[in-house]
Amino acid sequence: MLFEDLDWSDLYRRLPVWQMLSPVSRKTFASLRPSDKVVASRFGEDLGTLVRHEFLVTTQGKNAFVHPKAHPLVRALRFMVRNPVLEKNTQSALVLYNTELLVAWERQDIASAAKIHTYSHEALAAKVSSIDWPRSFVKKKVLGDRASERTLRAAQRLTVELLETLSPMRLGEIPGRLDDLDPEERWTAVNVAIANLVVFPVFLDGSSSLAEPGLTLWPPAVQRQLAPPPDPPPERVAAQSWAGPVLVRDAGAVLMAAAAEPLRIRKNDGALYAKTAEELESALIPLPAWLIQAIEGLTPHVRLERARALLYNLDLLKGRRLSGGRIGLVPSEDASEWFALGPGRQLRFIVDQWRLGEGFADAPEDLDSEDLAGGRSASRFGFHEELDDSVHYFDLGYTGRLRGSVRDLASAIRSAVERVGTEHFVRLDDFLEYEASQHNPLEEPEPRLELAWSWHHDTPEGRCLIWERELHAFVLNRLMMVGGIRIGIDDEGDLLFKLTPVGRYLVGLTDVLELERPDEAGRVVVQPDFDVVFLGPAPETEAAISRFAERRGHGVGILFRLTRTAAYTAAAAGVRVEEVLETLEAASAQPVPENVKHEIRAWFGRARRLQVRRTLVVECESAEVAGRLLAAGGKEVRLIGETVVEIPKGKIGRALAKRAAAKGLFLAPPGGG
Amino acid sequence: MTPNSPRPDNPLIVQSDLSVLVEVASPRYAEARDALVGFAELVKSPEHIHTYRITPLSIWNARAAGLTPEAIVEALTGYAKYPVPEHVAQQVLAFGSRYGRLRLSARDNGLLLECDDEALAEEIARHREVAPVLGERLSPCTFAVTTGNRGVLKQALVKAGWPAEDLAGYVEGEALAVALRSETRSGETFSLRPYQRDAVAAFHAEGEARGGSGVVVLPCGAGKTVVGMGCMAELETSTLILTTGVTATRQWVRELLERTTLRPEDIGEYTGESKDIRPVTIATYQILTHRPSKEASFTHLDLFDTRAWGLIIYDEVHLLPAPVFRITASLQARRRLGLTATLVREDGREDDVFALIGPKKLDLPWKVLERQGWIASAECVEVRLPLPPELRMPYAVADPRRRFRIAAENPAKAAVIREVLAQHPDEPTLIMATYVDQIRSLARELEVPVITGTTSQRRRETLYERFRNGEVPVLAISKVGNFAVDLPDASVAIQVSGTFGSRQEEAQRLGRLLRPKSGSNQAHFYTLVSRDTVEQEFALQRQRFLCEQGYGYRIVDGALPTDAEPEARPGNLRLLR
Repeated sequence: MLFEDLDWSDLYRRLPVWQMLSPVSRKTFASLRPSDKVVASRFGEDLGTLVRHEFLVTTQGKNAFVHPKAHPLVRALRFMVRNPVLEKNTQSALVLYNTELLVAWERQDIASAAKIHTYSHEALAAKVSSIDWPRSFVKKKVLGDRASERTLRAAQRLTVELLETLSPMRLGEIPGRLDDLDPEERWTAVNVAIANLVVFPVFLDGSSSLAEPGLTLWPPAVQRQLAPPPDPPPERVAAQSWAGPVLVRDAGAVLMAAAAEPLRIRKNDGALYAKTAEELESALIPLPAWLIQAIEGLTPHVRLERARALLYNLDLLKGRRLSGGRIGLVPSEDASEWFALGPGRQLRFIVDQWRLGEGFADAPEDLDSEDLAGGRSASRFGFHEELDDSVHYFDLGYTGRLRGSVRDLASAIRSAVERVGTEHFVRLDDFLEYEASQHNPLEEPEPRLELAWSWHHDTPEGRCLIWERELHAFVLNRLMMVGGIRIGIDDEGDLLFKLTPVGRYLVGLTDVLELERPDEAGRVVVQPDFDVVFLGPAPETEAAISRFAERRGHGVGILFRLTRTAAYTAAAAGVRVEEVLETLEAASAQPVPENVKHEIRAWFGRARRLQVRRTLVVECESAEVAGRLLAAGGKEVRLIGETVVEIPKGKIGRALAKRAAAKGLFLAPPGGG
Repeated sequence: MTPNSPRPDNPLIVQSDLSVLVEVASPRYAEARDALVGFAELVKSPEHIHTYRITPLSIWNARAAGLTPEAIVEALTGYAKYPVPEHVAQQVLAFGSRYGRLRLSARDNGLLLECDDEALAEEIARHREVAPVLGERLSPCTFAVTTGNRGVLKQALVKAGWPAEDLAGYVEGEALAVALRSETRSGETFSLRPYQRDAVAAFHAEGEARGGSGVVVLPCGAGKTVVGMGCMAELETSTLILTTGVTATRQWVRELLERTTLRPEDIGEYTGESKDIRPVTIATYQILTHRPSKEASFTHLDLFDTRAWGLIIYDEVHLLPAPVFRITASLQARRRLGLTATLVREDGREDDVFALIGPKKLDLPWKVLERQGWIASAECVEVRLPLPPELRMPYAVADPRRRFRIAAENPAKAAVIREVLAQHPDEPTLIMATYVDQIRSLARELEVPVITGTTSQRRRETLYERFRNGEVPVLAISKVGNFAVDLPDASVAIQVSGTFGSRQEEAQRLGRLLRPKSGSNQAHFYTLVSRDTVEQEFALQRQRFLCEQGYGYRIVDGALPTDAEPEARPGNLRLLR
């Protein structure tokens, strides 16, 4: 849209008449285009007024048309009515406003002024929605070719007025505020301010009335200026709550599955095939329905991918080429050691990979540093967009949005969650708002961190937004996933949280990891027919038993059956029989039947991990030939059958071949030649 | 407490698949169980958690007994620890609502099937299995049905999902004066035990139409025969009793004479050896299903029509042969009582038993009777012994059937038997095996008498008598010993080999030991299994069945002698404790 086409002077001039009309007439007229005709009776008693004041022209028939002199008015009204950006006050509404109303070169101009190097609508919206935008506008020296200096100064004066009062300005007030300008300059200044997205035309009394046109700064920016600083988040009461090391349990389930059969993954991005993921879903511990509804990213697919990525980064899963050129993930040699640790120590192992310890003495200096422990990167084997991979604090991986010292970042996060504590729940949104406003390391008296890639967020609002997002991601993607917070929901459906001992350990508030052991003893009955019955919900126990039993259900009832196959799989993954029996005994309301214990010991006793190695085998035609080869080969060969000789190294060395040839034996490598 | 709060003291967990878990330790267990048995089938009863299942048939049987679907849902809700899944309640109401919409009643020259509405009538008239057994359509909602098709029609309607309420009643048989004695002929005080009274009462239902047909499930040794006699005494009508063999027939005769007022001339045997039809006639399944050739008809099935039987008793009803199923379908006008310890049919036709004989009237967990002292308690031990080295290769290369036999006939078992016998001196002991060669060989080696299928009836009875009176403390017996053999003083059983994974056989063999004993009332059931073989796999299945009845069992490992501990000749076994 060419803003020069908008004639605010006509709207100003006709304002008294406009305001006399009924709301229905105003709405009807404001919806017209210059070429439209409309049934005259829709204006009711206002028709005469509209005709007399050259808003409309009537004909002999029942229709009315926009008076040619009213075309500018109509354009201005349509501009305001068709784009009620301020009704929603959202970034997406602002994006729509920009894309619909500005032509490309106009957007580019603004983007240049905003120093947006890589244009996107969202970046533009982020910039212009900040209070800094009008502030920077008033400091401009020039505005290119499209406005004279006088007009620019006028627009700036208008903006200053709005900034000083932080209140909207009625259209009718504008001449009085810019009385030193002639009308044309005055309204051109308005257009310039609108065209630069500094001010927004709006009906101050709302779209139901349309009587009071005016100008305003971006309302959320104004509200932020006017609002008092948020208080520390108050205590809240949770109607329901939950805590658990989801990621660790999911990792265990994925590892168990990989131990039974390689997990096929896609070559292009390393993700699990959908079918594989579907089959694994039933192995995941169930989460409360309210939690899944409240938080994105807790779908089975995402959980499995997180777990897979974690295990891969910890070198507990490795890729292996399968038949048909496919790739599968199998447990590494370290995996069985990790699995044998048991649930509590598995958690510690993972958390210890991430935490930086007291004082962060071992933290690398720079968030951008490539010199990370083990050189691991979460994106090494592909990563999905839906995973919020921007937060890898305490993971020593790719960070994304921020630049600075890891120590500073870790310290800021630690301080934030320390203020929440372990005693009382607080509302997550209250926490984020408070921290972003009052303890933002991107602001503070002196910023400790700065933005990395999202420079369009380099505004007060943007810096708040970024820090909120970082904390949000850390709380939900890091702390919650390892049981570092207890998450809850109140009666209004708001998410609440408080820190747990695991969370304190992760962020370095303590060097002692205390695991909260939920009291789940006595909720399980192990039957002599090998069924495991849960008399009540016991998520930790359910997760523990799922490592060595076949699942039959979730929640309560017959949840598992102890089978030989499950025992073999668990043994292959490194689970020890003592741990199995301890887990069952600890959870059971009744003694575990003797026959069950006996069978479990027998099953685990039979499981063996066999080391396969490549070797070369030479089949000799007779024992005599084998003997000659033995003589030629010396220590490089050994007899494994009467006529069969092994070359353990797996290849025929030149020296061996020569010595054999000297004895008349010519060794052909596998495959001929 | 809100409706959705858990109630830990309640005993039921209702699962989405319509199974119901019952916690025995709950303070409300007994009342919940009593409510549950009215509309759910007992599936298994291992020690702490029993499993019941709600099925359409169980609900229809409950409806036949007068229970409403709403009452069923209320009972589930009232005893459940957690909210009953909504769809379970809906299914109960849905299943229940189907009962009573079809009614079978008597009319002149046959039966009448009435439907609630024309659409339903049309649906069943077009059903592939129902249509052939319907007679003339008398009106949009009624059909004529021949008397002979009563059972087949009910069966077909159950399968179609539309059970018929059978109001056609029973034919009264010939009157017969029979009562239970208060003192047996041998001078012992006698009366029905409480659970036997309950079984009789459940069957008889005070003579109402909802009673008079059904199955009573009681453990071996619990006195099912007495329940049969109790029903006879209630009905006082001529009775046809079907049994599994001549020995069982003779057992019935003995019991009837001992405990009822019947005279010898009132009782007839209809077997291969005798064709005596009396007001109380005891026949074998074998004679009824005998025919000269495959193409010929079953010549003795007309026994059912020779008298106006008022009651037919099917002993060991789980063994009901198919031809008897068919004839039973035409006997729906007669009262029918099935007796069994284990309604487990390897052919899966349990539903047909319920449809044609009648619903389960009583099914008491074995352990309940054991706790009350009515049956002996049993210690179950599985002894696992290795295959001798010389048999490992033959085992490895054999086909699956042969492998089982090699494992089952493990010569090392003989040493275990000796050790067990040594641990139970002077206790009457049965040694049971599937393979005749094996049991004969063991009998020779152990110098004990043996009974197989070729042992004459006379010889069997002589041995049984000598076993009873202690002359023969150890008796080797093949599969013939599985069914309906009354050996009241056996307290040790050694199962040397079994029929693959037959749970029925397991139950019957254990049942040989469960009659109450003097002294500690304790029986011992040993199963010998070759370790790491298919026999062990099958044993696990049989073992699971015992567990489902509430029996725990111990596993003991045996080992062959080593160089370090040579002890005895190869093939001997050391039992490790």
